[in-house]
Amino acid sequence: MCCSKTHIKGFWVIFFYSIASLISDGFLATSEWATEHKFFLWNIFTFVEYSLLSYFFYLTIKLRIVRLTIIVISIIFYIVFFSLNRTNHDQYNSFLSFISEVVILALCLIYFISKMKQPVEDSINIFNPEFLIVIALLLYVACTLFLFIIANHLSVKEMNEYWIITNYSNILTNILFSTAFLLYRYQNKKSATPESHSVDYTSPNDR
Amino acid sequence: MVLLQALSPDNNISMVLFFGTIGMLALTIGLIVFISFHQRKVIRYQQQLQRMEQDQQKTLLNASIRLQEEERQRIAADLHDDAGPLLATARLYLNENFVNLDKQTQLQSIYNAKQIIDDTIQLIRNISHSLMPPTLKNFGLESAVNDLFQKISGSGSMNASSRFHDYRERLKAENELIIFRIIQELVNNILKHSNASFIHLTQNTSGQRFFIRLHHDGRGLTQNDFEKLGKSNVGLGLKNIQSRLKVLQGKIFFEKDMSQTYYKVTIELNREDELKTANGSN
Repeated sequence: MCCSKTHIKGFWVIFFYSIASLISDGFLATSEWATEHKFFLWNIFTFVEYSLLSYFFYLTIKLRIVRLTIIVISIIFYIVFFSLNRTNHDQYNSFLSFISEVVILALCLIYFISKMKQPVEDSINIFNPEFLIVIALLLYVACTLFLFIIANHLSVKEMNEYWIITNYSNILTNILFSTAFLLYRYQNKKSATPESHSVDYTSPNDR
Repeated sequence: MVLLQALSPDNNISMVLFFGTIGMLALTIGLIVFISFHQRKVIRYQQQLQRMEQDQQKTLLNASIRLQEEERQRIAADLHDDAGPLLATARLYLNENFVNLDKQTQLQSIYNAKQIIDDTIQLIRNISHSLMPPTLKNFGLESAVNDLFQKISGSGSMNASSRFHDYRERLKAENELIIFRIIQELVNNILKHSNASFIHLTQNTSGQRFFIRLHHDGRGLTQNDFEKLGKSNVGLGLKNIQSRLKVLQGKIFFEKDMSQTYYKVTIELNREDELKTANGSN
């Protein structure tokens, strides 16, 4: 179940998302230019985050209607994103982050519902890497949703103080991602090991 | 620090942020716990169903093995009790003293031995026919059923008739045999238990579905009785019907007629399944 081509693609998408998150945080922590233009970088990260996570769900959820909805919502999101960020680069756009989070939250819920409807062999299993990734995303969205809703009402000082929530949720999410990747590797190794060697020792003459 | 700041009464936005985030987290964890428990419950239920199905299959397998053994015992008894003594008697007529007898007695002995050997041939033929009716093999299900029903009618105990409405294309030989055995078993049950005065069999098709219906006016079974007997240790013949139908992926329904006077047994098969199995075996 976890080893189809689409699933592997999904894991790669999450891997790139983690790398993008790491680069963005690293850049913000080390570069002076980045600290000065951090809102601009956050907006860019929102764009990357939304794109990768919606693509992950596009790969994971196989329902045609959901895939179509993801494409339509993504087009709307990109149009709104570029029209809102055309003028003002140095202000954090809380609205777009909120929209992105809500879409990801809805996709997480759709994922659970679609899996619960499937036959038992294909349904949710706590030790399924894909399920762990979705849990990680759900927890991340749950932790940061309210912060993104009110981010525009916070002062820069408050923003810096409360941003710690995002950092903690990032740590939690990355721990769960790592667990999922390790589980995937472990399960793949296990399934690659031959279970039995059925060798027919009887000679053709004995049959 | 964040917690203290959030809980200070003059900071409304922080309160919203704090309680909002806590609420969302609680909801998320609740959802995850719910999904895990629900899934575990579903898996347990499925396992229980699988176990029940395995038990049912075991019962069917036991029934078919028992039936096979009974059949073997019957054939062994027929050969041992009937064919054995007949051949032994024939041998007695043709013993070593045979050459010392006078011509008249010799001729009489040969005649008697021939009679006995003819009887034995007939007996063995009967056994062979009961194993695989030649009419079924050569002329198909319709002729075999008509033959069976004629024999029942001929005995005078019951009026039996059959009508095949749409049987231009024969089923596969092994499937015909399975259906014939099911009909035999059903008819046998009706003869033994129902006290019916007539049996009527009809065959028809609807699209790819193939139906055989048996009506009789005696005491019959309903679907509930059939399922109960199928699960219990008795009703070997019914279990045999079930296992044969499983091979054909067919269904059987026991019901009372609309008029509540007759009992009706319907066997339903899908000809597409037959074609699939035929292709699969090729």
